[in-house]
Amino acid sequence: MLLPTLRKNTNQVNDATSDDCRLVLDDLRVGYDGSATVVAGVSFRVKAGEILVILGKSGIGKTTLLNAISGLIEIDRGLIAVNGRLAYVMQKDLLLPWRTSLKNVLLPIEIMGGDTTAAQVKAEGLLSQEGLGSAGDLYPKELSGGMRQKVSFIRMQVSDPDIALLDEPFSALDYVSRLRHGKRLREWALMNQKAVVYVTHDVEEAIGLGDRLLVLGDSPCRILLETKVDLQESQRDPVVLRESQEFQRKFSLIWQTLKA
Amino acid sequence: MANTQSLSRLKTMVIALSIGMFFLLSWQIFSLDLRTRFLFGSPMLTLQALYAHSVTGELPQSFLITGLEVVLGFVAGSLLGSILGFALWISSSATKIARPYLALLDAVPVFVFAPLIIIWFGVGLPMKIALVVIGTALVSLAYSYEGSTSMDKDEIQMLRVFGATKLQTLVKLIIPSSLSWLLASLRMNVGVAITGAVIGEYISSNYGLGHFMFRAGSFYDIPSIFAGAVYLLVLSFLMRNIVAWLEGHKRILLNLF
Repeated sequence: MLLPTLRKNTNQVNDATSDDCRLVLDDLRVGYDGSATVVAGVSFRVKAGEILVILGKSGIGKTTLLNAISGLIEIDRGLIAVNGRLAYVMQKDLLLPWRTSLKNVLLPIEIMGGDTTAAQVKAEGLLSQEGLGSAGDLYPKELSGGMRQKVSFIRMQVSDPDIALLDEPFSALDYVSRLRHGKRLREWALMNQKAVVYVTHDVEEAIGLGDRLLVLGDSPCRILLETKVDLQESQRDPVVLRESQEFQRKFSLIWQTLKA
Repeated sequence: MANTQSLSRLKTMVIALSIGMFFLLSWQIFSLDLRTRFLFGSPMLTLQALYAHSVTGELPQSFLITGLEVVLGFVAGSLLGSILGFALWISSSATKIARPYLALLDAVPVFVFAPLIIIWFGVGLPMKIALVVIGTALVSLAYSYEGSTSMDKDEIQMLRVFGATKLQTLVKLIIPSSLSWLLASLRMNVGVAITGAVIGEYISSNYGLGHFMFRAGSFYDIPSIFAGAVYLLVLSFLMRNIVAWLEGHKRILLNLF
């Protein structure tokens, strides 16, 4: 059952009751402090187990869009319907400085009143998987920027949302770690049927990660290009991907759109 | 490196002590003149008064009474003020209503309302404690409110996305991140609390260090005034050290959140 969490000037969304549809945006218009329109007429849907990657130049309104979806800012017009629980990994890692890494990871569970013992076991497993096994007792200031982003990502995983919004979550990681984390995110989304909206500047990362790509542009921001990435999982390996025709086609298409 | 640092610290201490000794010595020399001694007393006379009033138990007893007023008022006022400050954070409409009144209270030192406090609380111990509570509560209120509103908005938003209620946001985020502000308000409140208690005792009292000093003043007993001030200094020093200890153990306090 789809639960519209935010409604303004509600329009009928035809297949809004479809069960595998996790997020629907219909003709969304968002202003900034009631003045200039930042996002104009953006519509898209994200299904369970699907990764939608949003690309666009800096300052175009990508973060505003995610803030609107997560309910942090009011929308002027249109509809946002959210089917399930939502998590949002912002650009900044936002780890609380007085909490250890492990306690930071457990924060959403404490807030939701969930089972912290089970979550702790899961968190410790994920921390060791990321090579942060000994960092559970460390405070954020004792971690590097990359490590902090990994902890922030683990916090999102432990909170086990149905829909994950990620705003350049791996920007502080080195190239190899970023690719590896992209792969982990894909596995997590596919295996657990999570809907993911991922914002990035990096075209190569976007093609390797996304099932569908949206290129946003113009002022106010609108969808310039929407395209499906037609790749098998085996083709998403970094080397194989860059040699594939689909990669080259999509890269060229996005490049032309962004350049225009 | 460490040696250079300790040497420079030693040098600073020697200079500070020398200045103090020079001051006391000059005071003692100038007090050889009768008129100067009458108006300013002397270090030796102060020591004598300190000893005399200590052995009779008068100063220690006054110290305990003033200490009780200060500590009780300090704890209650700091707690009350902090709670009110955080309550203002919870309700933005209450903040808008309270802001002009807070600005009014901030414009005048609260101790000018002491005569009102006498009418409300009488002349006994509760009046002194009430003065301290009001003085310290206003400081804590301002500090806790300032601390809670100077928060990173992104962190508040993150908690909202996690589904946190206002109370959860307060407990998990606002209070721990305002802890430095709260400790700063305690540091400030040591002075405010002592001032409040002593003013209360100046106005009307038969006990306490303020009363002791006020009475000594009315008899032109300058050395006894200084002797009382020494006890006040000890009280202030003790309380500042407790606050400093709390500041040193900030991490333990933060672990509660």
